[in-house]
Amino acid sequence: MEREVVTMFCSGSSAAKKRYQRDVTYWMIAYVVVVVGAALMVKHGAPVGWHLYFWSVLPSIPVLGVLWRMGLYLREETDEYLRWMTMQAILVGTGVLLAVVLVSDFLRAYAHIGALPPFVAFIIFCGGMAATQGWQWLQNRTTDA
Amino acid sequence: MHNRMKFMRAEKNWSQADLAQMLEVSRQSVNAIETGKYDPSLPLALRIARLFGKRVEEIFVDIATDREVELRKRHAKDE
Repeated sequence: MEREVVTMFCSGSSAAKKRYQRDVTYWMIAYVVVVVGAALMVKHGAPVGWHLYFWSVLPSIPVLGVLWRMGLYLREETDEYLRWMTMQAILVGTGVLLAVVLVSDFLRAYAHIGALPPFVAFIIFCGGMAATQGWQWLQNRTTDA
Repeated sequence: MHNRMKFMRAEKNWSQADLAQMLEVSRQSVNAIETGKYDPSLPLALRIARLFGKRVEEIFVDIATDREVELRKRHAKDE
C-alpha cells in the first residue's frame, strides 16, 4: 500500500533534471534581485544615455540564462522520454507566446490597442510550459502495475 | 506501435521501477512505453530487447506491418 502511494505519480527526476532545477532556481533569484535593483536604479538614480540602456537590458540577462540552461539540460538529459516531454513543453510555451504576440501585434496595428505590458513575455512562455507540464503530469499518473 | 513489454515484464515478475533501474531510465519512461504513449528510439528498443533476451520485433509490433503480413498470407492462400 505504501509503495502504491509512493509510486502513484511517477517521479520524473533525473540527475540532469535536478541540476537543471537547481540552476534555474539560482537564475530566477538573480532575476528578482536584478529586476528590483534595476527598477530602483532607474527610479532613483535617473540614469540617462547608455546607463539607462544598460539598466534596461540588465534584467534580461538572467532570463537568457534560464533559456541557455534549458538548452544545456536538453543536451545533458540521457532519459529520452523526459527530454521529449521537456521539448514538448518548450514548444508549447514558445507557441503560446508567439500566438499572443502575433494577435497583440495585429490588434495594435489595426485596432490601435496598446502594446502588451512589460515583463509579460517570459511569464506567458513559462505559463505555456507549466500548463503543458501539468497536463503531462496528469497523463503520467499511474500505479506500479 | 504495440508492444509486449508489460506482459514480458510480468513474466519476469519485475516492477516498472525494477525495469527502469535496469534500463537506466525513469519509471515514467517505462510506463509511457508500455502504455503506447511513447515509442522508444532504436538504441533504447535494442537495450530493452537485450534485457529480455528477445529480438526487437518480438517485443515491438508494427500494427501496419502485421496487417500487411496477414493480407499477404490471405492473398497467397486465395491463389
